[in-house]
Amino acid sequence: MNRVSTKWASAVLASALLGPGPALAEMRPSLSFAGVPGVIDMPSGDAMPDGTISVTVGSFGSQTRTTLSFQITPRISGSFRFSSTRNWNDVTVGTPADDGYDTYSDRNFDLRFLVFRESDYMPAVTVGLQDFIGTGKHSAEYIVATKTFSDRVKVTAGLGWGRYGSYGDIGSPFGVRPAIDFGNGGKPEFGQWFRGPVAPFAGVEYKVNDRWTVKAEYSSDIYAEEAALRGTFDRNSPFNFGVEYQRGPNMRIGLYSLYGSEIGLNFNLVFDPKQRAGGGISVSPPIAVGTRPQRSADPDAYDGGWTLQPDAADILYANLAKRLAVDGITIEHFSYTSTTVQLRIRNTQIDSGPQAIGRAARALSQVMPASVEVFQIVPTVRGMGASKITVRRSDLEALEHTAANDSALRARVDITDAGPVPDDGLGPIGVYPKFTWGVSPAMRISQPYTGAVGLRFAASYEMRPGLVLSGSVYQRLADNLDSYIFRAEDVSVLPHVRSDVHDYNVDGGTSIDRLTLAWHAKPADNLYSRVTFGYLERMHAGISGELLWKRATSRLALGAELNYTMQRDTDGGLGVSDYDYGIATGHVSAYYDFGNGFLGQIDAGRYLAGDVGATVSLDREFGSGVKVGAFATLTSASAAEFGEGSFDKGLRITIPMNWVLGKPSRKETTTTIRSLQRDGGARLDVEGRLYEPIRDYHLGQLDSQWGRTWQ
Amino acid sequence: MGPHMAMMSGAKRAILTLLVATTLAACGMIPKPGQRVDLNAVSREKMQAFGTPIMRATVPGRGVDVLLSIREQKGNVVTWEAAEGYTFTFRDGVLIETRGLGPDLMSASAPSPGAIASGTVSARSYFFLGDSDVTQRRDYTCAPQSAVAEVLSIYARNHQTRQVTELCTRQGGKVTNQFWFEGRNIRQSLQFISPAAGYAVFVSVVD
Repeated sequence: MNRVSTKWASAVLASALLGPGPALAEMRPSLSFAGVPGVIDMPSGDAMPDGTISVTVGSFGSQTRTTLSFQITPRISGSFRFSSTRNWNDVTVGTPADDGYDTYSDRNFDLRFLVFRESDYMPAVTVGLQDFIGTGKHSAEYIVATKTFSDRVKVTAGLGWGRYGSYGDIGSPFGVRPAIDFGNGGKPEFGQWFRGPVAPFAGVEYKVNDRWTVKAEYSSDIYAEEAALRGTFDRNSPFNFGVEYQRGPNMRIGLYSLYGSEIGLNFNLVFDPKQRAGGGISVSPPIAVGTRPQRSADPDAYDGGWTLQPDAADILYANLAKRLAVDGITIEHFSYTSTTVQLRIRNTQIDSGPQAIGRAARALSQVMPASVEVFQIVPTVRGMGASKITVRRSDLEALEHTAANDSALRARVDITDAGPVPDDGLGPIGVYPKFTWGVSPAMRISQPYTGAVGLRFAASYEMRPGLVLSGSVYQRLADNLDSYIFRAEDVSVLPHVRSDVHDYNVDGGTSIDRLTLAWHAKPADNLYSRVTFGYLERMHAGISGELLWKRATSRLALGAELNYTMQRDTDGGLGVSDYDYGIATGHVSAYYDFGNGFLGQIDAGRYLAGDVGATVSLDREFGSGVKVGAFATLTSASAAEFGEGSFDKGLRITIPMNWVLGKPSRKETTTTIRSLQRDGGARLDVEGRLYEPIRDYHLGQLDSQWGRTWQ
Repeated sequence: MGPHMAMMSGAKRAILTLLVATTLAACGMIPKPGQRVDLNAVSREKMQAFGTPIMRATVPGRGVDVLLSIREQKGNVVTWEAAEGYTFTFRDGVLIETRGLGPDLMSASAPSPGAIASGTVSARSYFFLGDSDVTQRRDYTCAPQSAVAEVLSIYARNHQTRQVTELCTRQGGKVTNQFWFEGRNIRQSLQFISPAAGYAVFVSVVD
């Protein structure tokens, strides 16, 4: 057997030792029981890295808290927390404190602001508002400082109000904290903030090594209701101690002794949406840019006479289709002159628009005769041309292997409106009608911990580009819906356009989620349209029309939507008679791309319950496609009419499959987390709204992903 | 020139696939899709039998150990490809691009091998996709160290080489590339790809 060089082996060993890079030695922030940067049960002054998403589950005694946190900007973070306390009325049955709950559940929103970043001599300082628009049971405000020493020790000290000012207070510097009358909750209680007793708290952390950290803290939360009033645990001491284990960059678990009586567990998962699993998407390499002969050496190659060849279009089309099929790109239209080619493509696989455009340009350079100098590539969405990217072939050839070729190419391409489909040329061949189907798991929730799981069967039949018959059927497999707790105070005084979700869950064991015919068109430059007819969503059927105006190079888009719907029967069948409720709804919308991934949206109009108002949304989107956002809707429905929560608000997270898998895919899932889904501010959930898919091929998105053009 | 039906340009890739399959078959094994092959067990004779230049590329940070053949050449830029779906592009033997690894080296400006061999201090720029797919640029000043004579044994053939270590530094970071020159050609090298992929070793086995 031949032997390879021992030098080769040592070189490989050296490369393994040299790369990919040294581990971080810094002391990263860890998360408290409340799911925010903290020591054990108390917050700390540092902040998570920009963009970090974390999920924390902490439990001690009869309390469990599940928190989703997002570092919105380098200084601002937000959290949504679902907390529950078991045995809530065990010792208060029959007393005035008995409020009828066995397990008391609450939803909290927090906001934190990093006032000062940590420096060599100064600590990081954060001001935080906990449960600032909930029922107020967990409300607290704090200002807290944290300093790191030698990358091993962290010391935290802070002052807390509200819950965090309830033990060992040192007075009330800003006056008495007024009694809270939260009513239906869900509104900021400005008058309470930083009022009432203030108490100090402190903690220390010691990083034993990269995996193990030990912690101790002094808590200023007396747990007045949970411990003193309801006896759900004994608060014997203000001191907490714990040990935490860090597994990889994403997972941390902690075991604690809490308040001198309880053992606690805390588990958290931390994600950086800026990074992909494995560091990048592993896609097959692109084909090379085609080489043309020098014009001086072979002037005949540049002759445009080939356009007269009768079978030229068919041959070129077949060659292009073959090369593009590798990347899941199909041809919607193909036309040319002797100098210019326009290729309309549909990208079904590659998550990045620029990468799909780059691959189409390479395919054209391989296939088109030498006289064709201008490539017009039009990505299409549901048959509509989203934009036109014009690339000069000689630029592709010149830049293929040059340094910084992405920015150089970007400076030389034009991005414009797609324009109309050329009259001549070839349309899609062998692509339509197109049938696709899939099965996915589905979950339906009536109340926290009460719901059903099942399967959703979806199918789509696209007769021609933009004309789609599609639907999905849900089949329940298992549920615990009979443990639903009816509360008379939850019965809505508004039309039950959303709040009968439990009835829909119970009756719709086998149900048609959607069954629609949708038609998309591009009636004019920069204008896109959609008409959808049928069973538009689980609860409403009818017709929905939408117009979107957006220039390919503009940050602003404007839209209008008009719907007429009847409320569907709860069994998920074809009937619309149970409710006898029909309503015209509609919105005008403005969308704005602020840059750096921040997207704003305002929708004003009439909602399903007949209330009139507006929804404001702000999302942050990362290059990986992960998107995190928040929305709030204020309408003419009063807080009393709306019920618990006072108005509709929530968070939404979109996770693309390619971020999870590290493989090319355009699939993504969006999860919306609401404090409570009520009838006020409820908007029709029609599928296929225009803004997001069109935006994929417009300036902001193309520029943020342009680095992948050559990949 | 008129349009013509394209020929698949996978002939080179087929050679590598065949080479790996032949090696396994020689060991009495039928290759399965995705099966890793011990490339140390492939003989020089088998590689030479295909009559095409063959290079071995190893990227420990990505678990990649593959044989490469030339996909295309444009002037002094040569792109090598693996049957497994990776490409490595070199300008005169100095790595300037990778594809298919995920965290690829998207482009680079690099000194010529002549400058490296002669110890000339040069500038290097690496471009790769960082967080959120935003292109990151890293600029280094590279100082090749004095050459050291070494005999490399590559698949049972000895090569008289001069090993040059190229130290590239910037504020807050450094990269160390190594080149084994045989005459004016690079016989073996250790070259940086990207922070997430780390380094690659390239061994030119068959010329």
